[in-house]
Amino acid sequence: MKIKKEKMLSLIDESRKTHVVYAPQKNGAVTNFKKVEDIKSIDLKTVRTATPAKEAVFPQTELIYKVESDKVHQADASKPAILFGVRPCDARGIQVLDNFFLARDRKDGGKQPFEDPYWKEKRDKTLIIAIACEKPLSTCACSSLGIHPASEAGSDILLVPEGDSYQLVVSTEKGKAFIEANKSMFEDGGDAKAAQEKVKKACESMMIFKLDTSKAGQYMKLYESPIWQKVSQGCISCGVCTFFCPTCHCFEMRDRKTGAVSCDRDKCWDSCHFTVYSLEASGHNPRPDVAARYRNKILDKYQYHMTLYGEIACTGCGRCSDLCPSGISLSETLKTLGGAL
Amino acid sequence: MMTEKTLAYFRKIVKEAIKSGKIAGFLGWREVADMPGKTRAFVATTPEEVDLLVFNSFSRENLSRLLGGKTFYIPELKKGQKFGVMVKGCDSRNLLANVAENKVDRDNLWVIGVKCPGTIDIDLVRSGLDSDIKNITDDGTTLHVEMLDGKKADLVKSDYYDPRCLRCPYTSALEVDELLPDDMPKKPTKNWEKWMESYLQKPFEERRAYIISQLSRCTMCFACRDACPGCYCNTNCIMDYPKLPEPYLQKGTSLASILTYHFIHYFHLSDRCTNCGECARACPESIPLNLITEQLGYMTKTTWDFEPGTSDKAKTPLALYKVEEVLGR
Repeated sequence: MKIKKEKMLSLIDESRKTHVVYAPQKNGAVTNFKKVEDIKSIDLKTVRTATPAKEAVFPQTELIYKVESDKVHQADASKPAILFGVRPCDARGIQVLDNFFLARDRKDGGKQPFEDPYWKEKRDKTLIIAIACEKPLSTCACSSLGIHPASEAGSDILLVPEGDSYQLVVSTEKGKAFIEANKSMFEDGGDAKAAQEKVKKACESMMIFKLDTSKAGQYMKLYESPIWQKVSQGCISCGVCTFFCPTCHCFEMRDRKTGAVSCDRDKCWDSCHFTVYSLEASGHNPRPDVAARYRNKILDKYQYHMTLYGEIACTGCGRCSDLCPSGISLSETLKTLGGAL
Repeated sequence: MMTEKTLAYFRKIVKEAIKSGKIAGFLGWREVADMPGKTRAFVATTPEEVDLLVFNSFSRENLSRLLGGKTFYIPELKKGQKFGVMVKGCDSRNLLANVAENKVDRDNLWVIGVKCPGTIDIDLVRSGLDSDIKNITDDGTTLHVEMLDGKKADLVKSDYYDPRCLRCPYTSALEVDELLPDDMPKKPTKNWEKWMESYLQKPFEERRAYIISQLSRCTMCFACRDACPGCYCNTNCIMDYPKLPEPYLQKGTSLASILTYHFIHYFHLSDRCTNCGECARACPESIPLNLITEQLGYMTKTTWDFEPGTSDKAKTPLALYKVEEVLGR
């Protein structure tokens, strides 16, 4: 099944009547996912948005409830949404986050004790329309992480560019229902699998950033090793590699005063790279230095998440390396760690 | 970009200093294997590691940041031993400013300075290309770029300088122990004060609206704070303790919190900011924070005729008052 490129955009425009649509849009010097007000502002040329697409399902600041003197008002239920133009690495990121936010059986025999109702509500109401990447950036490494530039993992519908149309790969019931509801826009014909394979091959042949994932799950042996001082050299403990990561999920609850006897409760992103993240009330900090905090980030992605859910919590999007103000490369870190094992 | 000769000389003196035990380690830049056009901070502690040290147009990070604040890279020093560090012009000013405020012990440092030929804004290079960079080299006047799709391009280097370097008046490192020979290509300069004056001609409302529209995409990742060599509050930064109930001091990204954070940051730097441009460089959302810092630098200069970081003795204007100020002129 396929759809003409301009028809896809008008379908998205049409869907704005019933859905909130998020798509990549230029904002100053960068491109970010924003609510679409004008269909012309959608930017599908930029390969990687600055902030990952997880923001639409897991907003940086999310209102949970409002308190007014002795009354509590729950935040309004979210509207059905379409997340359009997501790249495979970001779509996979949302799939990885399901492990953490949804109550599922875990690989270590336990069960995730709690299901995040705010994530679940948004996730159930969001249709993810991904688009395959025709060209990579120099820090793209999705192929190292079990997906590829035309992977349908995590998306409901994947658009594979082919000439002036998109071939469709539909992987979920949600995606099928959307296509069924807008049947007149789509036409039969073409081989989606072949188109997918073609885009994948062309894009992969240009990728130069490789992540060595063969040792994932063994890094715990290096826990006490001084090697962390070496790989974290130059880290300034900012929150870039965590806030911009498609699989980072730390958050905290904050009460924001809005009046004399009223306040809002927000769910806000937090980062394990912040000095006060692990600071205890006694003044003791179990992760006192940069090396300990950097170790936590790497182990969380390549060790803890694997032990609990059997998957690496990294999608190879390359943002942590590309955006790092100190030029710390994940590829280099994994190589150094692998060499020490 | 250093000539082979200067690079060899630089590595030789560092190796000798490490071998003789004069220094415990040397903080410089090294290339990052998988990321073209980037370098990262690196502490060399053995003569073999010294061979990794480089200085080129991509050595953009300000290393004086790593000598104080919450990221200490100075190892334990034996008696009489020092720690080596390499500085560009802007790094040396930040180092001097921190020495003047007793935040860094200059006696512990062995500082090697370079006459900086200006650095290249790699994001500017990347944004203008059809395909991303596979490899980039610099011969002094031209950037030779090899792209991922196999095509090649030669770019005129002067079009891609980091804007902060074009207006930098202090290319040569100040008050260093050893200044490397000046054999690097000269960078173009632009009249910064004139540019600033024309910027300030714009109506205040217009400037404010622009800055706020750019700041509205701030994610409060604090990269600008953590990259700032003038921010040394360690874990005592007020933004690390937003437990106060005030709505403007909250972790969430409301515009009130974003503006409060940036106001606090830049007010505290008002007479101390050396305009090194690290905040703008570090920002993952490419917010033009340099518009704020450049204006701060301009105001400090025109109000007090003071340039922060030009001496290790000078007290900043807001840190002292003169008798005349109290009595009235």
